[in-house]
Amino acid sequence: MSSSGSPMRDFLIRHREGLLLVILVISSILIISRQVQDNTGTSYFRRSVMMIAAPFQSGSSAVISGVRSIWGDYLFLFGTRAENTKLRDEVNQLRSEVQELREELYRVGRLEEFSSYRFETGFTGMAAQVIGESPDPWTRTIVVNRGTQEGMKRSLPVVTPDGLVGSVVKTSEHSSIVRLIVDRSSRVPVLVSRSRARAILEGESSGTCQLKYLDRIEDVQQGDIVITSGLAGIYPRGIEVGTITQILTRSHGLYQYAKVLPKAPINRLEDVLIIRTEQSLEEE
Amino acid sequence: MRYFYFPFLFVATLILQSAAVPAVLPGWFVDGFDLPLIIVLHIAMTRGKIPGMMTGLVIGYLQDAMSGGVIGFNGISKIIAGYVGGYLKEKFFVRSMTHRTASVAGAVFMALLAKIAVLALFAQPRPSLLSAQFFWGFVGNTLLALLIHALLVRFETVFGIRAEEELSLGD
Repeated sequence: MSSSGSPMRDFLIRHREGLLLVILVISSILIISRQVQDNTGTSYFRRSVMMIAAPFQSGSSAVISGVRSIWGDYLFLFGTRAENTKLRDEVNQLRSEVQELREELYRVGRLEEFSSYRFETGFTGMAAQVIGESPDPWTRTIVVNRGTQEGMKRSLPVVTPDGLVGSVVKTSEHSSIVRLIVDRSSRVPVLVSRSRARAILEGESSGTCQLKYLDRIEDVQQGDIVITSGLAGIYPRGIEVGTITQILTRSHGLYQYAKVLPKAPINRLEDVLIIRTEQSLEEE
Repeated sequence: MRYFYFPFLFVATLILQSAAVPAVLPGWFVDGFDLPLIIVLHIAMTRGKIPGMMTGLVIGYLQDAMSGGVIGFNGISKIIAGYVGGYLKEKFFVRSMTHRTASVAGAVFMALLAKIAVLALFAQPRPSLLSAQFFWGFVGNTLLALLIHALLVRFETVFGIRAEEELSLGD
C-alpha cells in the first residue's frame, strides 16, 4: 500500500502551484466578466480601497511636493560658500516665506482663473486638487480630493480654463477617479470649431488624442481647434479640447483621421474644475 | 521588522507608483514603468511561485482598484508574473547574470503579454505588441527589475529578512 494516500490527493499536492494559478486566473476572469457586463456604480471593494488610499496619496503628494520644492530651491545653495551663518539662515527663511507666498499667489491666481472661467462659460461646479495618478501605467487617470460627500458623481466633466481634462469614472466618500481624455478608453464627441465637422476623439495614452470617424470630405486643417459637441450628454457643448496637429488621410476608406494635442496641461495637472451639468442638476 | 516588511513594501510600492513616479520620472517613461510588477517578480524570484502569485493577487487587485479601470486586469497579469517568475527562478535563475537577465526579461514579457491578452479577450483598448510603449515597458521594467531586485536582496540580507534559498547578487 502506498504511504502517500490516494492518487487524487497525490495529484493535488504535486500540482498545487499550477492549480492555484488556474483557480486565481479563472476567478479573476469571472470578476472582470461581471464588471465588463455590468459596469454600473462603484464596487464596495474599490470604494474601500479608494477611501483608505486617499489620505496616503494626499499625504505623500504633500510630502513629495515639499521635497521637490526643497530640492529645487535649496540644493544649489548647499554648494555655495557660506559667508555668514546667520545671514544665510535669514536668507533661507525669507526664501522659504517667499516661496510659500508665491505658491499661495499661484494658487489664488489659478482659483481666480477658475472663477472667471465659470463666469464666462456659465458653468457651475467645484474646484478640486489632484492628489494622485493611476498606479497602472496603461491607464491614464488621476485622483482628486473631492468625493460623494462634496457632491461628486460619475460622468461629471472635468476641465481646466485651458480645456477639457476628462470625466469622473469612480467616486468614494472623499476622493474620485477621473479618466483623462488621453486614456485609451476615453471617447468624446467633438466638433472641429472652424468647419463644424463632427468626429469622435479617442485617447492614445501617450499624451495625445486621435480624431476618428471624421468624414473624409470634411474640411480640416492643421491648427484647427476641436471643441465638445455636446452630443453624448456628458460634456456640455463648446468646451475647448485641443488643436489638430496632423491630418492622416488614407487612399481608401470613408474617414480621415487627425492627431489632436489637448489644450489642458494633461501631464502636469494640479487643480481642476468639476462641472455640474444640467443633467446632473436635474438628477438632484 | 520581518512581519511588517511585506505590508510596508506593498503599500510603499503602490504609493510610490501613484504619487512619486509621475512626479520624478519623465512622462514617456512613466507610461511603461510598473513598480508593482517589479516587486511581484522580486518576491517570486526569492520566495517561489506561491508567494509570487499571492503577492501578484494582492498588489494587482489593489493597483486595479486605485487606477479606476476594470478590476482584475492587473490582478491576472501580476498573478501570472508571480507564477512565471517563480518557475523561471526554479529552472534558470542561478549563478550567471545572463540567466538572471533572461529570466527577468521572460517574466516581464509574459506579464505584459498576459495583460494584453486579457484586455484583448474583453475587447478593451490596449497597446500593440509592436508599439513603443510595449517595447520601452518591456526593456525599462526588465532593467529596473534587475536593479531593484539586487537592492532589495541587499536590504533583506542586512536586516535578516531573506528567505533561506534566496540567491544573493554576488553569486
